[in-house]
Amino acid sequence: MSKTVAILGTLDTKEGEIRYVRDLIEKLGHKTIVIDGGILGQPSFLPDISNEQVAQAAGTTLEQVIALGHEGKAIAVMAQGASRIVQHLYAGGRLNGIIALGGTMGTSLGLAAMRDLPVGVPKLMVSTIAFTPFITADAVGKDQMMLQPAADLWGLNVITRAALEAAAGAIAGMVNTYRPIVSTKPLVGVTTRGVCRYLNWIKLLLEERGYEVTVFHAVGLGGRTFESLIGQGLFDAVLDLTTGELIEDLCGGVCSAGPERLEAAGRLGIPQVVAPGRMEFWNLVGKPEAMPSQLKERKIHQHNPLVLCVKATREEMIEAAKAMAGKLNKARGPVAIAIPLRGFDELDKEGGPFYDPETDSAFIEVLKKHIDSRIKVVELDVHINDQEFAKAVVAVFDEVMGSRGGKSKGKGRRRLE
Amino acid sequence: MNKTIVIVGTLDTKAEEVEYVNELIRRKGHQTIVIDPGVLGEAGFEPDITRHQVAEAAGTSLNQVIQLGDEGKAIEVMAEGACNIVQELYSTGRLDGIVALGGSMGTSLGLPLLKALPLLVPKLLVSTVAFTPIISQATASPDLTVMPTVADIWGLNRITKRVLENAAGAISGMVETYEKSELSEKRMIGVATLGSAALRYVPYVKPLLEEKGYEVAVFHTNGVGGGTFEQFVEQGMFAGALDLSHQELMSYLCGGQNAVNRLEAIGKRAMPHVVAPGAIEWFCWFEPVDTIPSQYRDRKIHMHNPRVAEIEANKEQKAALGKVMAEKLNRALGPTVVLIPTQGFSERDRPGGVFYDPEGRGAFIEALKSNIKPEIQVRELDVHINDAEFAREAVATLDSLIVNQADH
Repeated sequence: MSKTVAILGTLDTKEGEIRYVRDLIEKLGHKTIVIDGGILGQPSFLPDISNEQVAQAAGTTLEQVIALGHEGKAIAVMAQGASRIVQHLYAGGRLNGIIALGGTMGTSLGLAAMRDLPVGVPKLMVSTIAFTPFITADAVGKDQMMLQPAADLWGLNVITRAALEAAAGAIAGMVNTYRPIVSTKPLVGVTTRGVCRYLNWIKLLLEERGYEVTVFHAVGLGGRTFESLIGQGLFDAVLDLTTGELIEDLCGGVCSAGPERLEAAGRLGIPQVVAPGRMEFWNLVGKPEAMPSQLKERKIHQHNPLVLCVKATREEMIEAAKAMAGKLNKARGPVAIAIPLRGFDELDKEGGPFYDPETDSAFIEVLKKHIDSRIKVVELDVHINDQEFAKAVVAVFDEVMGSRGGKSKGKGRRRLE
Repeated sequence: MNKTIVIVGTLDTKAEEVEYVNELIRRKGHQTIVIDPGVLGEAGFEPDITRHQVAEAAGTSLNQVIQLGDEGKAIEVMAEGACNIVQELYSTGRLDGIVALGGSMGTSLGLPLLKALPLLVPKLLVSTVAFTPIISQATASPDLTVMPTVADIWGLNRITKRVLENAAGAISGMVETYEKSELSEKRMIGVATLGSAALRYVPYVKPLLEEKGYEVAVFHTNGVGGGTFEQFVEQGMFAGALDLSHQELMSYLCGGQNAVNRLEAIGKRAMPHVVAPGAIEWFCWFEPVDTIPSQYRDRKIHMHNPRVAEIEANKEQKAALGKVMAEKLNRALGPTVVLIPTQGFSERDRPGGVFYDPEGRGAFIEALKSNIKPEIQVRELDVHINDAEFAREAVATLDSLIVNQADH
């Protein structure tokens, strides 16, 4: 059951490494397609797809790319060409997985080339800058694996060879297990976070109704993935109950999912039930001692050794309410908002470090004031982690799904490809 | 070629997923050891190593951990216990690779665990918080592989199954290609350097070392590579070290952001070292320039690129570094030679360069020489660090240290 793995890198600087990975993958029984995204120098072995072809796929020529005289701009053009080639190979059934390797430049090239392949297609980035601040959530794809070699990719040696062996093994192992994602049930996407515990009940209730449930950890990348999978048309409905990434984005928290959070479902007209889960704080990374001085007065909670929670102010909550209303007012499909009046997450409950009903009320008032009258706001005298909240949300969900007239509850069978 | 893969996940919340990965890996013909470091709730199935055993490995009991009443602290204790267990499994030949699954708690727990294992042992973290700042150079093992879960690990569905299949395939593939024996066959030299804007000896030293039959591994010492370099020295990976780049130590003394407390492993593992003070004229700041500490605002600052500010180290700091380096080198267990290229320590330290400073260089040399013990040879060479002649001298010196050591 031989598969085809695309190998992307810059042959001008990483030739030995690319050749080594290619030979390993072939030894493991798979075919390879080597794509050269490099710009300078003459490679000593011929790739399957040359840098000239990559430049052409971007609508230009290698000569013109070199004439840009700027490495960063050149890489951006080559990345675009590589991305088109990779997608074309995939669409033609000639690619089962992709591996890219590189330093700063090769990583920009590789990430851009693989990020538009569908979720589930094995993708591996071997990057010397994998866990540096250079790699941000918006630079990475939704599901690519990232391997950091312990030494620079500066020729083959025992350390780089071991890293490349692991990489070849990993991508070969992934394409071996690969099968398309198929399901017959309608799919509901739900957002949550560790501090929101409604899922135990909601998942069961939805499964009883014949839905399949997929959960997203709304800590930035999760929210971005959620939005982008909604955009791929994967979900029949969403329960977007942990929307705190909105306030992260407004306040510069580390868990921001970007400014477009809470927009895709509305844009596509997918039914949605929304709640302000964990809206009353945002996150920083590090120790309380290292907090910026302007935050010294804030209430802080150390979630775990790596993550700090910063209590949002009244003004920040009000801004978040306006943002939420503005986004939902634009929705083309049915929307309902469920508000747990006794607290938005585990930290925001009586006795909890962020319990603050007054500020929560300010949020609720502003949200109600700005929200379109066609959107139902259901206020529930419960805490978000109470079982009653889960039940009420599912009841609201049933109503929203019922309100769509004669439509079936979902499209059901589809492939995530 | 049956291997053992350790699977770590909290079985109160992730039992279904851990079980699925376990089954997939076993189906590929490998043995598995499931470790449950969870604290609350009930384990969904019986692991090979229970949470009670994990707590005991940290010198406490699960009840005491629960009584801490603080999830963050509980995670720290359980991480310690799990670290001790995986190290024990590795050293007794019962761990060929490891995969940890988790959310933000599981990731906080998994990161130190994976970091506790030797470099190059296959390690995979399947995380819901991949590519957030939670996984950084400071917290991640330098050879880590991370896979985002796409959807949350919250039960099996078409998306999570695909992700877990990829994870099981990847870790199985990694252990299948990993051969420990091969690691020790060749003599390898670790070379510390920086980019060519600062240090340019690698294109000379690499072929020279290869001519002599060595393999060369290069480390970019900008706050990351130096820590990896130290770890490899301690692990005994190298036959010798060309440790010629020390900005990370200057940064450590000055409170810079590319700081690493370097030259520590040299006192823990006997091994030939050639040391030079490459690129010590400045240290780096990555965050916006307006967050540079006030005491450094009036220093000369050079923007290396839009994200990296280089702050000049002054004469006093250079003298202080000379003393600190001498004290660290005095603890060296193996044969050690210090080479000092008196015409300049980096590309920036040349006539016309932004950090050209012969006086500061002199202060460094003076402080180093007056604090170093006489057994350690310090040789001043009338060359620049980026001259071909310096590279030749460094390689010849290291080679003779290695050869002499082998003769004894």
